This record gives sequence, C-alpha cells and structure tokens, in this order.
Amino acid sequence: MSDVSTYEELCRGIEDDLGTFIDQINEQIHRIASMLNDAASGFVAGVVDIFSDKVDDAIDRWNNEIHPWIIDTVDQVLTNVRDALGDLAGRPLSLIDYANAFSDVKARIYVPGDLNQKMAIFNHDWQGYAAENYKAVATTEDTAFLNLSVAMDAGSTLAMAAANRILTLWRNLAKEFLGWVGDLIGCFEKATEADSIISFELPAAFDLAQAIWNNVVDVADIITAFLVEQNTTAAIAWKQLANGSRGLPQNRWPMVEEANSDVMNDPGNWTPGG
Amino acid sequence: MSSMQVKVETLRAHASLWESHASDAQEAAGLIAPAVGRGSDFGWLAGEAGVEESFNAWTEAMDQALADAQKCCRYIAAALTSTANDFDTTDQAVATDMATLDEMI
Repeated sequence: MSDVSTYEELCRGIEDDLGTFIDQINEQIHRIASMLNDAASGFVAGVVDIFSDKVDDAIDRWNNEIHPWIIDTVDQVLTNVRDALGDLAGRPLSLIDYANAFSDVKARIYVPGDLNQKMAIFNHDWQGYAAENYKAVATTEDTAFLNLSVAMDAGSTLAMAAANRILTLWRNLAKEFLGWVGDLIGCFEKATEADSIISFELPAAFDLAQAIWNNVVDVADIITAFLVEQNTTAAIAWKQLANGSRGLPQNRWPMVEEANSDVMNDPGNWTPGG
Repeated sequence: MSSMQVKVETLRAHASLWESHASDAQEAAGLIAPAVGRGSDFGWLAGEAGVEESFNAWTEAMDQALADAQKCCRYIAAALTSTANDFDTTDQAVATDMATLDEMI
C-alpha cells in the first residue's frame, strides 16, 4: 500500500491488502486441496499405490486440523487488523471535522471590539441605574463569548493534532501489515506434497500466528507512543478544557443575575443621556 | 427623528446585537453538535488516557453553555426592546411586562 493522506485512503488500502491476503490464502488452500485430490486419485503417477495410506492420512489431517486452523488464523488476523483500524486508535477524519467545526465557531462567535464600539454610543445616549446594570451584564456576556471562542480555538488545535497523530500511526500500521501477510502465506507455500502435510507442524504454525499477533502488539506499541502523548500534553490540555480552567471559567455560561434583570426591566431606572 | 427617538434606536440597535449573538450561539450549537459526546473517536487507547472522558465533558459543557448563551442573549434583547417600546410612545402596547421577561432566564 502506498502512502496515505486520509483515513479513508488508509482504510481502503488496508481493505485492499486484506482482500489480496484472502485471495492468496484461498489460492494456497485450493492448491493444497488439489494436490491431495490428485494424489488420492492416482493422478500423480506411483503415489497412490505406494503411499495411499499416507495420502489418506494427509487428507484427514488437512480436513480435520490444518484447514480449520487456517480459517481460524485468517479470521484472527482479519479481526485484529479491523479492530486496530476501527477502534484501537480512533477515527481521525471525524476528529478533523470536529476541529473544523470548533474553528468555525471560534471565528463566528466573537468579534473583537464589536461591543466596545456600540457601547461608545450607548454611553452617550443612556445613563443611570439600568444603563449601568446593562453595561455590566453586556460586558460579562461579551467576555463569556471571548472565553468560549478561546476554548473553541484550543479544542480545534487539540483535535487536529490528535487526528494528524492518528493518521501518522495508521501509515505505520499499513507498513507493518504488509510484513504479516508475507509471513503467513510463506508458511503454506512449503506444503507441496502429502509428506509435507503430514509433517506440517501446527505448533510451528501457531508460533507464526503468535508472531503475527506480536506484530499487532507492535502496532499497539506504536499506538502506545501516541497514547503517551495523549496521556501527557493532550490529556492535560483536554482536562483543562473539561474542568473549565482554560477557556470558559468553570465551563458555565454566566447567566443574567435576577437583581440585574429586575433593574433593567424597570423603565423608571432608564435615564436618557445628554 | 427626535433626540429621544435616536436614543430609543440605540436601545433597539443593542437589542439587535444580542439577537444576532443568540443566532450565532444557536448556529454554533448546531456546528458542534456532531462532536458532542464523541470522545470515543479518539480511539480506545486515547480513551484510556482520559481524553475521551475530558472531550465528552468539555463538548457537553460547551453545548450547555451555548444553550445558556442563547437564553441570556434573547433575554437581554427582549429587555432592551421592551424598554425601547416603553419609551416609544407610539408603541406602548408591545412593551413586555416584567413577569414575562423574568421567565426568559
């Protein structure tokens, strides 16, 4: 699989590789089954008379042990790879969408100086108790919009950084995957006659399955490097946003106080200015 | 336009500003909605680091904050409009009473 730049490309590339892997495995299964059938039917000259018991044993072993093991192992590989793809390290494309949404909100929600300019005229036109209360409420709300836009900016940066890290991680996964496929296919290419089926060592094959699993674990190690970053800088930064120590204080929008609203709602408290 | 009418228009301009903020907050809520509670998209391992939990807590808080922001801005806009209507002798009938305004926040 070539380099990928998006999650979709990566998923598509690995699914293509998985498809090739399944085709190659099926090819080996058919080749071995044909080889055993040919041996049993005497198509291979001399084999059936001399080694008929051996061929029967090989067919039994193939049907009862090796073929089910191949199917099970392939299923494990596919499951592991798909689990890694889908759940282990996230969905960066979605994170990019979220990062863009946070960035859009940041740009939309707060315009610096907007209220200040309007307040210059207001201060000339209105004075008194209600006007002072309105100014206090307006400043509080305006500051909250500023804080919320700061939080959105931080959220956008963090989500985009995580998405980029995950995409990098997927590129590494794609490279690793190519190695596993070759190992498993190579195991069966050695089975060229009944003898090799009978002597085919499942423990060795299981070792190979273990090696493949270890490769998945290696990928998990790569992911762990990502996790370390998530655990340190990213986790702390997200926690700061989550507990409201960064961005909107306490993550609570400042509601208009009852006392302020009562003053503002009484027309007698509004005094026209000069 | 009399001097008083100009001042009343200033109140209406501010009411319009807060209505606009309320609309922006509403639109913002729509923009972030797909992200709210989607911390699992950081992946299982990042979830183990606490990122999922923090992301969910933050996005849910932002969702609530934007809902509260809409409420506050609409209230301020209504209060200013009501005051403007009260001062605008031609439009006394549409001044909003205090009880109605109180119910908005």
